[in-house]
Amino acid sequence: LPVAPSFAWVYLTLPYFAGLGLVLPLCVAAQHGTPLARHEKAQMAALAGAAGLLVNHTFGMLFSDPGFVIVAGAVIAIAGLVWLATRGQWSLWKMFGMGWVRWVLAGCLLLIFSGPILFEPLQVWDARSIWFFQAKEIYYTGGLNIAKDWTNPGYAFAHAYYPKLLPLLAAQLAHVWGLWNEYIPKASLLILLAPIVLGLFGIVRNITLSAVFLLGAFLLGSREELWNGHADAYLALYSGLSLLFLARWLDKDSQLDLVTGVIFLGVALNLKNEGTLVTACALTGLLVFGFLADRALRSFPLLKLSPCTLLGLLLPLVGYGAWSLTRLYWELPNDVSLGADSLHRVLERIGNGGPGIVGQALLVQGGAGVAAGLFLLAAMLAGVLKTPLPKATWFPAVVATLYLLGLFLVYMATPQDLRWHLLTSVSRTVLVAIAGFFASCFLVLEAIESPTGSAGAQKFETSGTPK
Amino acid sequence: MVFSKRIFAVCKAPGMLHWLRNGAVLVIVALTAVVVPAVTIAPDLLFKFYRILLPNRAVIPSDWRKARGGEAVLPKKVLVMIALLRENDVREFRYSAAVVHDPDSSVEQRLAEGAYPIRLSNVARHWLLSVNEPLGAGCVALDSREGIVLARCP
Repeated sequence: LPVAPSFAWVYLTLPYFAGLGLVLPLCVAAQHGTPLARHEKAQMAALAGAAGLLVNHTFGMLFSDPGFVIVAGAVIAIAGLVWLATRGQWSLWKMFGMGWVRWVLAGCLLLIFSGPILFEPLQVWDARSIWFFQAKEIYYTGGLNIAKDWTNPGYAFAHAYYPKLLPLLAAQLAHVWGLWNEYIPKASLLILLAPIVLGLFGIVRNITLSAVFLLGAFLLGSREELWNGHADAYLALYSGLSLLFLARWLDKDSQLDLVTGVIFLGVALNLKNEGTLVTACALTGLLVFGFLADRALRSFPLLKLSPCTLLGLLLPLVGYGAWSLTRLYWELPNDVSLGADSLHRVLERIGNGGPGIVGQALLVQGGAGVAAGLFLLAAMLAGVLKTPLPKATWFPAVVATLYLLGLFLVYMATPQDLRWHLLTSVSRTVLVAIAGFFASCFLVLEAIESPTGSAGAQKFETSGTPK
Repeated sequence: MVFSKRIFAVCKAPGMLHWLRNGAVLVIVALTAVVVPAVTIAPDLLFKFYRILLPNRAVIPSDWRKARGGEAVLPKKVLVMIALLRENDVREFRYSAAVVHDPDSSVEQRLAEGAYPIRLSNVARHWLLSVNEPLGAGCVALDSREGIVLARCP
């Protein structure tokens, strides 16, 4: 209890983000025909949190003053939550009442990660030099509108062209405290983690071995990357969860899954440059699976856009578009420098054994090969046990493979020294692919555990939760 | 043949199939726990949290709520340079190649990001130099500490 105030202030910010992103869950709930199951309520909470992050990011991109963004955001969030609370008896409960077991577990998980996130100072290279240095610039210059320091060649190491979702969030927290140090801005990681934890409880229906697998693989698989200030683990987890929701949408055709998948992908898009690659791979995967799976083809978003889906698609793009225009206007260089010269570098490296070096780094040193192997082993076991696997089970793994191919090309075309670039980054960049393979592996394990579907679980879940 | 047929028959029994399914999932979970390796990360994470709950809370840094708290993670040389800049109210600075030369640590970047909002500038009047370096024409040494000099140049 004596340490409670040290944690509580972060938890108090979570309703701010849920309130900011409330419009999407409300929109989906209005179109949801049946009472929400408890795991769907967890998904609603995750959707609200992730959408809130995107709304906050969009405000931060459009308005320069962090103080104004926080006050305006708080007004909107409070108004939304109060409106929902007074709309009808238990309306907040009907939306987010995922059951005390899930709330307690989610709270405990966040609390456990609070320790290293809040009380270990920023120490690792990218965290100090990129994400939190950018946040420091935003904090001290009072917003993102002053180009002076962003184009200063002395700060070229900070990769100013990287997306600003995390730096803006960290700068806002420092602004609220009125000071900058190496601890307070790190609370932004805890705020990013909350929708992930809720999203995981939105995926699993019951406490089973496959649920233990998913929670363990996702939350422990990234190791210290979840608390040291790097953004890669968060990119991987948002991407992995997005692929899981989209796979479930391909299989079950639920509007809630589609919108949640799109919003989680939107957070990934605005978190790191690799988010663009993940989004491109996911869209390619959706096209392929859209034609493979009859149900998905009928409701493919490009063919049948509901207002909620449209809003979900639009929300990440506003912030992304605003930052893309800003970095064009500021003429910020991209150190990967993909362009006409890239082909020349790729061809040169093909002759110098580059494919072997990159392939080995991605699959062996990065660990993507082991994750893919686990997924294939699970699929083989499912085959031996004659478990029918929906086509969508393969969707995250296919996207992960496409992402690996994309990474392969990026490394082959890098203007940096190849071995140095691989040594300093591959263990982090490959996390997205690992999350994709683990996502597919979970779907296989879930199918093995319950080969006839989860009708029993659904019945258990929906009991006592009238809409 | 008879024996193998019996095994297959046992495996096909409904109860046994249930156990086989759970066993298959357990194998994957166990392999993942080794590969991740969750078996070492989870206790480490729990221990990090447990230390916070200890009565003296020694693990919570005393400066975590203070401005500039946690700066101690920077290399000592960088801390000295930042102290020189702050104590002399410098707003913009530049540095010599010699003063940031340090093969064992990344002094250059740590100085640039650690000193911020004191800005790096190619036209700054204040210089950080190594004590062995000659001052430029018209430059005046303002302060020095542990082999590092802060100079103001015209």
